[in-house]
Amino acid sequence: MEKWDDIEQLLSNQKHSFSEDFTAKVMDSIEAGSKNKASGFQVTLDRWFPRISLGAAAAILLLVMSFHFSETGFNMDTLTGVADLDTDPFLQETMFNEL
Amino acid sequence: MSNKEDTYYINKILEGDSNAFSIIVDRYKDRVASVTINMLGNVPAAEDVGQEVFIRLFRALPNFRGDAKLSTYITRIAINLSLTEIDKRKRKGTSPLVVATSEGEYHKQIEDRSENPSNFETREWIQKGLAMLAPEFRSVLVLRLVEGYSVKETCQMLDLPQGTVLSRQARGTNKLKEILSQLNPHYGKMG
Repeated sequence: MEKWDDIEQLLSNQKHSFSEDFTAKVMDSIEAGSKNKASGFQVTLDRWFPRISLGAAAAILLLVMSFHFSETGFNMDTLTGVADLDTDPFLQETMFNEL
Repeated sequence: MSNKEDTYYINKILEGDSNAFSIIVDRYKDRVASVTINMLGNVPAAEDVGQEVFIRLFRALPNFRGDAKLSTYITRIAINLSLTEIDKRKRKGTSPLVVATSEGEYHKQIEDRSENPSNFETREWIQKGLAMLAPEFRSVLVLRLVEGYSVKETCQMLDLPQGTVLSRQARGTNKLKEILSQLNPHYGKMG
């Protein structure tokens, strides 16, 4: 048994160890890391694809809207669908011009 | 394992022999365990940090120039990751260190208890004492007195001047004695 007042002796016996499957866990982690590295492009694509899709959808919507407004001018009624072709002078003028 | 053997296995690893790396892990895992468990307590997080040590080593091996011994290099990663983990816990406001007497009681100490109850109790007592020591003192005591590194090696691993290491060792030892006396009134009176 250690001498109780010998702090250096006590500390030198303060050894520990990990679980028995520690090495296997490390090797699994490294192997998994290597696989990810090998398919780095796929990982990047998976990470960025949703953002790219969302960005592309927003860009297309903006393009359509800007084209629409450049043709018709900004008119809330045309957006909400309440405009009436028979009574709305703006729409009548636009339609006749196009025709 | 000598430096020559380490170099042999490092070259094997760099040639793509993963089995060579498992030999290195087997060789140094107990040393890493002693550092992370004495620094963080006998909790699963200590083993997680241990795994991270070897993952970092694997990534860093292509740049390993062999200026320092591999064991010193590994211990340096282990002590620095342990200190980072302690900082993280401080920021999160979680307990700085959990010892094996709580729910996180760990397999190895349970084995020790069944084999030799007095050893288990002594280790548990020391573990509690270390847990109550500030990390700057704990790190020096773990490297110098548990792992037996020289003052020069400890200075390199902690990036500290020699005077600071020696002063922390002296102050840390005195503080630990005080703590151990408080935890066990018989301490110092038993031969």
